[in-house]
Amino acid sequence: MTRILRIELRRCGALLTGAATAAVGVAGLYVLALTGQTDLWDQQWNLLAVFQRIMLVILWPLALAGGAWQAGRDRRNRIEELLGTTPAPRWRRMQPSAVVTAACLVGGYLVVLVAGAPKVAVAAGYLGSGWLLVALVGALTLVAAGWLGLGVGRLLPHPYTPAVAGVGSLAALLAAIEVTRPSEVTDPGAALLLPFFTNTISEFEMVAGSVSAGQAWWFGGLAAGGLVLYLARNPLVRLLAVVPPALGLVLAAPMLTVPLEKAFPVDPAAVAEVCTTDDGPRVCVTAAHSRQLPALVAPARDALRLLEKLPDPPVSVHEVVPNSDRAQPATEAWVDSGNLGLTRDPADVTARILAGAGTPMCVRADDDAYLDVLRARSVAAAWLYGSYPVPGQTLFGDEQAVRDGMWETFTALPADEQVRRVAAVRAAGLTCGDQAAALGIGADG
Amino acid sequence: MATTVQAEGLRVRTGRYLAVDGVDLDLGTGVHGLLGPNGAGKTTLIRALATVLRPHDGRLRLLGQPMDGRPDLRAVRRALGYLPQEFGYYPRFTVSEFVEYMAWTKDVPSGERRRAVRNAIERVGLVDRADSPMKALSGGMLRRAGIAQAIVNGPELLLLDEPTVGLDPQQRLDFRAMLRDLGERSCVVVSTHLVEDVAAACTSVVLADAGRIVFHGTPDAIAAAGGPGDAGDSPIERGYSALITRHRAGLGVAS
Repeated sequence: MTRILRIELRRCGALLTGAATAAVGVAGLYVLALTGQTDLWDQQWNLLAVFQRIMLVILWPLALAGGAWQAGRDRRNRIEELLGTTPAPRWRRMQPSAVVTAACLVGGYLVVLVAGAPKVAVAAGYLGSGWLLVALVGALTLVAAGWLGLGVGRLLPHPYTPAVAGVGSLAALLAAIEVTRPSEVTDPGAALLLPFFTNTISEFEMVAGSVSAGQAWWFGGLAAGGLVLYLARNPLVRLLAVVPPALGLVLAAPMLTVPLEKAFPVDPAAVAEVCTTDDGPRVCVTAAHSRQLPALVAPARDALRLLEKLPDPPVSVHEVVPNSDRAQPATEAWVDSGNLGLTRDPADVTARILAGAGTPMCVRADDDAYLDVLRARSVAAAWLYGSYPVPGQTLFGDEQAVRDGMWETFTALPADEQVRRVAAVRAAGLTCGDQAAALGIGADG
Repeated sequence: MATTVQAEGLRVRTGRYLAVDGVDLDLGTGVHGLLGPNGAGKTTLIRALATVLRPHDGRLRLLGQPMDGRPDLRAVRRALGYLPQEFGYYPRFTVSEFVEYMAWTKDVPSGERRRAVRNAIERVGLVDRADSPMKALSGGMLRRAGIAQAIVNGPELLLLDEPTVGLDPQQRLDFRAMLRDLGERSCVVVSTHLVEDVAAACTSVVLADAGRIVFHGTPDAIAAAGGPGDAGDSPIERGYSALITRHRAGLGVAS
């Protein structure tokens, strides 16, 4: 059997399908380099695994069509009569092509993973393990597509079957994205039955293990159904092909009917703190950004030194992730994750930490108060930094004029009042209060 | 002589057409030429012997197994070699890969498979093309590769439908020698239009016309059936045309 598998591997069309999977997948990863968007997948292993799953919207129909093409091989080569006179039962003769189809698709999928790995290995802060499960489930979905394709190709032995299966499944998947879109914001259940993810995740999120397990049941069932369809000897056995997917769905349903935050929860390993261990003030980042810690230390300690102008100044700097429910202690200066890696200029980094006097932004961009809070934080940063404007800040004309006015008004205040108001900005930031009101100087001066 | 093929009143349909109509036949070890004009039912008879078509009526026993009811087809097929008239193959496989694949489908034990493949390829004279892809072979070479796959399992019943198409004169001579050799241990049934192949290599000749057996005997007997007035360039060709003409006259069929 091993030699027969080797022959099949070298000669059958599954190798082409696997190569096409690898080529399209690798192209999908690196075409983003043209627009500088590889950070969609190259920052963490989880992101790579999830982005690869997103590409299944193309790869899945390709695998389905490849399987259907493979199933028509005996008919195309007019060898069915000859094979029919051999003692090997049909199901046994078809085993090698099913095995090779699966192996080539898994191989192609893993090639994409390996192709993305060098970039991720350079940037990723931690290895983790959940991504491996996500990748394996992705490979399983491709096997399901390939085997379903084999089954469909056997069921509908027509020259156009591969093309119709490929184009039809692509159209069906695209339609499914639209159908599941309204509900996936809060309840992604139906969307999780698709072979691909309809959204990407942040560097701090992961795919829940239960979701991967549910998807493994579902796609395992589909794969088994496809295999039954392909190997079945008669119509009655073909009818049984619906049993494995149905069973898979029943087993998967409880695991996939979960709200969004449980389907893609925060990854504890990604948000775990990694801190300096020397004698200087502590500077901490998330494990996801641990590679950025060395570049942060000097500007963060500069920021701590400058924050000493305030009463009860913070003594450490910590990266804070979006939507963190941890309260900020007065002893800590926090910097938003989004500010890391944006600039290599240490002075710019220091100024970003000083915004809001070492507190993160609590107001959303679509909030009415957003601009006022941004301005107040900027004035506080400039005052702490000791120069206006702070490094790295470039504004357009009207906004620059507003900030200039605010800065002049603020610096005209008595020195102790300036200290009190910046301290108030920090105090408001610690409790997510109104930092614009704390500064007490609006755009109208 | 042990009987390998035994047919009594065998009728076989292809679609709605009764292509084999009441054939009685006993074939044992040896080379049996199946001769007849187009539409005689030769290919249909060979396909029935190859277990591709089920008998519509009558009785057929292959290698001692009755083919009616629920026959043990696997046992019969294990001892069967078949080269169909339309020989299909996997074009990307090399000759040795294709023959090995067919050996696997014929349950040749894995320990013996490589030797069996090498022997089969040697016997058809394709050793120098063993690593060539099937799609790169000429028509004659393809036919020889087809014969190699048919004999790779050392079949007790070897069915060859038009095996000499595309072979050059030297290859046909070699093929006849191979047939004689195979016929010493197996029952070889060769369907052909080429009367001289039959005369040279067959121990018996089965002459078919319009789905029936017109004559079954030795090549010498068929030659003896013809006279100087019958069409043909050799005694066996004259015997062939005389037997067909007489059969059609007896049926009232215009020749």
